[in-house]
Amino acid sequence: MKFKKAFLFFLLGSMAIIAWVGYRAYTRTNPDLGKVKADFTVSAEGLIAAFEKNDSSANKQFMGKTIEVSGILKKMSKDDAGDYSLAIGDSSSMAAVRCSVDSNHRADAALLRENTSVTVRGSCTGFNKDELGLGSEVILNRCVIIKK
Amino acid sequence: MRKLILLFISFSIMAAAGLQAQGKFYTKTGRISFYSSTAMENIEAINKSVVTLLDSKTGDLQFVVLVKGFEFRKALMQEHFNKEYAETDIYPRAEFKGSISNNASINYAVNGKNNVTVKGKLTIHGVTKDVETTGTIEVKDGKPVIHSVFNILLADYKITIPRLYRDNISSTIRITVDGSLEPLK
Repeated sequence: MKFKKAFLFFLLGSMAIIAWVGYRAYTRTNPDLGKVKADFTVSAEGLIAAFEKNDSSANKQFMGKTIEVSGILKKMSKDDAGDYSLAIGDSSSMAAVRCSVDSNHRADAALLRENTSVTVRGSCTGFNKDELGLGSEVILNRCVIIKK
Repeated sequence: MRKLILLFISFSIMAAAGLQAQGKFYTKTGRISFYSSTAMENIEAINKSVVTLLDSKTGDLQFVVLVKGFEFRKALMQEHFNKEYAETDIYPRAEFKGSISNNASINYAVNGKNNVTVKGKLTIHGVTKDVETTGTIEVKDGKPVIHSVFNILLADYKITIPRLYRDNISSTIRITVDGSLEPLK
């Protein structure tokens, strides 16, 4: 009888733990990159040059990684939904690092000014080659502002 | 004489606005979101770095989007989307190349909302299909704002949903496209 009870407790406990682990995994959200250590720290020009030189090897190196990028904020825009997008890089070039700012960090982005230096941390989602004549761009998502 | 000068200036401004209105427009911060609805759950993802180019003279319209840039609320969904469904390491880009069928009826120099029909080729997951959809181009202060909502069948683009998840993911996905375009100088 005692053994049966203990077994039942063990079974229910195990099921509860499995359910909890499964639920946590299922509802997990992407981490705030302000709390994540960068895999790479580079200048905007350096990152663009790496992709323009050999996008296939740069993809292998940077894709999906957390990257901290510094450079001049060439252009900043805010869309109708209130989200900010930053173009960082050399003002004389059409190429840029395009940072889509994490919506939880809009207030930090609002304080930025164009033509000043900035450091952001974001997750690299790839490289848009200049096929439409608009300039190539390295894309970073979920960006947070590190230095204004 | 003064009136004549004023008239000349007004004409010059209108001509300059007209010239700008008949050029190319672009954005690199367009938005594409998709939505799947089933009895089990709703799935939504958004990409905020869509490159869009519109030639207002010809009506040619292009979109390019890096598929890995779609953000989901749940990280696990995003991982499954990239690895198992969209296979973004193999097919990193989706694109649309087409034109506005009724472009001649749009006056890009005048504020207002225009209903449009767009035809072209949509490439997703390495598969290119002919598509035709409707939408709007609203001209606001000489800048076009585009909006369109349409559905695609995942099977058309050879995206297979494992049997285990068929109750969670709809076979039809609703796609919403938005972009506020700037004149290309």
